[in-house]
Amino acid sequence: MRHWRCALIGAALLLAAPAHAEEKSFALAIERGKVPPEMRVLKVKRGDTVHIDATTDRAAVIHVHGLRVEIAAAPGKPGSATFPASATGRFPIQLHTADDKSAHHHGPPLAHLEVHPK
Amino acid sequence: MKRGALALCASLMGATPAAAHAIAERYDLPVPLGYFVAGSAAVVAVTFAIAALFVFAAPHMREERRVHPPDSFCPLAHSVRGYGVAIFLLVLAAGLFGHEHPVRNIAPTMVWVGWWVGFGFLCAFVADLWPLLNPWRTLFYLAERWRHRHRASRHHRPYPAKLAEWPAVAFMLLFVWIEIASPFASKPFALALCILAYSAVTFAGMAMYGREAWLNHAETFTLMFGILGRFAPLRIGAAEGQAGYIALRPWGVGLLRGDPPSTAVVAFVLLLLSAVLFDGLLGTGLWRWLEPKLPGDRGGNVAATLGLIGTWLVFFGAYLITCAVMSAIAERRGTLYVARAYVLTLVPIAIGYNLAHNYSYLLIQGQEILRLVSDPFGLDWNLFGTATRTPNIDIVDARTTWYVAIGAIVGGHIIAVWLAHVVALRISATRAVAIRALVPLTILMVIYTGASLSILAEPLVRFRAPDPDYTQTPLLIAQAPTR
Repeated sequence: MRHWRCALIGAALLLAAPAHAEEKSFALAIERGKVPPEMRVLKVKRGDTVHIDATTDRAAVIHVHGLRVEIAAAPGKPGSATFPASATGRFPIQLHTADDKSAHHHGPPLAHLEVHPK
Repeated sequence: MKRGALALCASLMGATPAAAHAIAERYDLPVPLGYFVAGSAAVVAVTFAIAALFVFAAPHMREERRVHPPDSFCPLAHSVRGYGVAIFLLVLAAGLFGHEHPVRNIAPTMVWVGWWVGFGFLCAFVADLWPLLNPWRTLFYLAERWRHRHRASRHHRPYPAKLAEWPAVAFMLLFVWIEIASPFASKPFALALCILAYSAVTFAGMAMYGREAWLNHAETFTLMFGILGRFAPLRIGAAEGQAGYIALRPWGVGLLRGDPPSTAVVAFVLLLLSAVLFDGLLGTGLWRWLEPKLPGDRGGNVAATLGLIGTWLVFFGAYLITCAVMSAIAERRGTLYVARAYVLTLVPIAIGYNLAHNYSYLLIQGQEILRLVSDPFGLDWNLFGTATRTPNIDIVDARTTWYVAIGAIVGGHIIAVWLAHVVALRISATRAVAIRALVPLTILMVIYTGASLSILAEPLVRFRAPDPDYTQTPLLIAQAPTR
């Protein structure tokens, strides 16, 4: 009897948990290696689904460090990615050009994705 | 395939040039305003509470208690010595002959994450194990034993008393410069050359002045881990070749043992404190505002060098001025005596900030060691089956990190203020004099702790800085093929 109740509560929790998670969409308009100031911090909560649309004026790969997400985009060919915000933290979003061999000499991050605890 | 390689590079080589210390980037969320305010309020409240307590009473400090370790202690100590030499040789070999990419070579992660941060915590929170782990000490000891078997022992020159611990201060400055401000902290080969050069100096020093004399005065890591270890609750008293003992004591009490240290140790402790704080400062808006005003190169190394030395001089200067004021208003002794008597009470503040700054970094980046031991040279080995492991970045929740960070800083502050009060009662003529002498030092401690909290809370409590001008990025964009 008690086991059933536990199982029911567990199932309810499992079903309820995703209901709180939201999908959050962001648009990154990259021009000359920068995004407008209001796009420089993307805030979500842990467990949310993040959707990023990127447009760019040069061929490039946008990379969300730590979460291992990459978005390829080129002029006229916007890129996008959808991924779960699976860990809390402040993750740099970096721009890498397509044939950039000196990956560790790139400039400051394009923006930051902040995943806050619930 | 090429994309994958780029992604690997990108995900692992994330640091911007200005923050290119060590090897990996940090994903810490800034501490929210509520935690910052609560932490600051606690610091001020606790400071007054301790001061009030000492006005009315002289709390009894528990001394250390010796415990005789089990028989298994000696073999255990020997195995730690063995590990020390083995890890040392592995890091050296990987640096010299391994893959040149820091992510594929065990040397940088082992040095900066495993040893500097991880082993540092072990020394501060458990016991100073460096005398056992120290590979230079063990190797030299073995060489001495071998020599004694073949030749008569040689007499050493006495270590020049005037030099005191100043060589260790110089080496520590060089070491934190390599970590924070040099362009080659994460380059395995350069790191191995530095280790070789330091080994040569250390062996020569031990040969010239005697092993323990050199280790205690000039071997910078013996001094550093020793100072951290004085905070720890355990002390291992291992006499040469005999069964040692273990001493148990409350946190921080070891910092009160013995005579006041030398002036060189004052400089050394202030260097440790300013180096850990400056490492955090590099990520703040204050630094982004300050950096363009300093002369510098493209990588920001010159500016970081000036910043590191500047922070040290400011901290050192502030401490000496505080001690001069204390000497003038209360003590009948010179500024330098006061500076030496109180300097170790600052150590808990440095340890508290170091824990706050590196807690999640160690737990996340420390996992890389599991991957790298399977392939230390970057030769696509998989010795232990862990070569494809990626760190679980969800291992620490941000909220836990915030509690740990604020707790560590407030805790460090409490212990520091408490120890300062004990020292004051010990060296002052009357309690009234002691309380008076403590006012400037307590204010300085609140300032140091406030600085630690502000750096953690950045960019929330942002020093209003103009928008950073990202002039470097278009240079890279220009290389992109236009389609």
